Amino acid sequence: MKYFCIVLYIIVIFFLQVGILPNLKIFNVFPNLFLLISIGLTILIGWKKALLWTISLGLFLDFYSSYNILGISTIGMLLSSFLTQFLNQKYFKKENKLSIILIFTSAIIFYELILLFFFKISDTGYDFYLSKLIIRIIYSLILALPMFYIEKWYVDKIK
Amino acid sequence: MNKAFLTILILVVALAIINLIPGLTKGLGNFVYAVFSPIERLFSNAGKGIINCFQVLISISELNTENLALKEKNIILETEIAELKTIKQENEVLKQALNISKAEQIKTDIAFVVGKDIQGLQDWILINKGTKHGIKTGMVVISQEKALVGRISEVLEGFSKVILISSKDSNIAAMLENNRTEGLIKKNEKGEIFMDFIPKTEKIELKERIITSGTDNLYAKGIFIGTIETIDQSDNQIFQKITITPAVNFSKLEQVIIIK
Repeated sequence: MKYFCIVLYIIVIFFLQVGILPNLKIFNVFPNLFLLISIGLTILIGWKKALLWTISLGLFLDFYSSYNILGISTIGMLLSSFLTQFLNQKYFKKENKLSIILIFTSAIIFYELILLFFFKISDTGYDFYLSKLIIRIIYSLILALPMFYIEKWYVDKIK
Repeated sequence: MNKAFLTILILVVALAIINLIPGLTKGLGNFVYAVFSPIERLFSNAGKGIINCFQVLISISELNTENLALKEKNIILETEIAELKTIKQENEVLKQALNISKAEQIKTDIAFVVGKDIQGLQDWILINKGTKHGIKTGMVVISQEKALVGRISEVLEGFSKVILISSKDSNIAAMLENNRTEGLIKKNEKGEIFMDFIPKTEKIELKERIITSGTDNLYAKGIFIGTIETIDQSDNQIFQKITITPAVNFSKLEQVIIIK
């Protein structure tokens, strides 16, 4: 049952990311649900236990990206996971909606900046605009909170 | 903190080794696409179907008006098709008369769209033809309606990535079909493609066709790109700027033609 729920969750997220969200773009932007899973799991179970998820999802994103170097998204997600862990332990020990929102926002911005850094180094076209980043953050947060509470419910249940 | 640093270090070293071994990344990519592209296609088609259902419900009142307009346009197009068929026949006769062999005609291949950038950061698609089908980097890709889609940017054994014309990496030398004014097509912040540096003295009209000019040596001349959507002739600008509606609906693209 435990693994069935996990597989079902992965299938639903994959379906949303591939089938639904690209058709619901706002100003040519839609969220990265894999990143949101990584951040959510890091908050709930820590970066070590979420490591396999982070690396697997990151590698998948790497293959489905146009940059020729494998690992950019993986490293970006891993560093965002570390930042999430750091903020969660040091500054937002008390879990409430505001702290969750702030952690997600910080991690998403950090991930975008990492990608921007790698794209600038590799001289690959990546159209970074502040307005698009803001829209992506807001759009991501709308989905991040329900996803987080679904993951929290499941983690609490298996504990 | 030390464990985190060590994890990053091990990961970076492992990824560097994978990237440095020749052909390994492409081999892994080929395997991943072979496994996941059928699932992605299934989900992508299912998603489009669901969204279309909602769109039909929302726009049901506009459907009748759109239907009448399409019927009128259909009649005009059928007339044009009849004329073009005559021209095509004449073209065949002339080719035979001038002994232009089939070998000099353009070679093409058809491919299906089996994936795309799932992060939404860059505009590219994955097609199911690769090196074993004779595909090479730089080949031009068009739609079934002969409109410009993009260019092959990376080739694997059984798959290829196509950078779309709506990508930031794409700067296309183009021109207006009627008055032959040339310009460069780029992408703006909102994701629209536009053409800049058009002199204000040039008279242009909405819905005018934009085609490739061929001066960039990347795309052959005369490939249909799109039509003019808006014209910006602000007094505070030296040039006119036009936004373009691409002829291809990239979100619904299922099949493409590769020009070899």
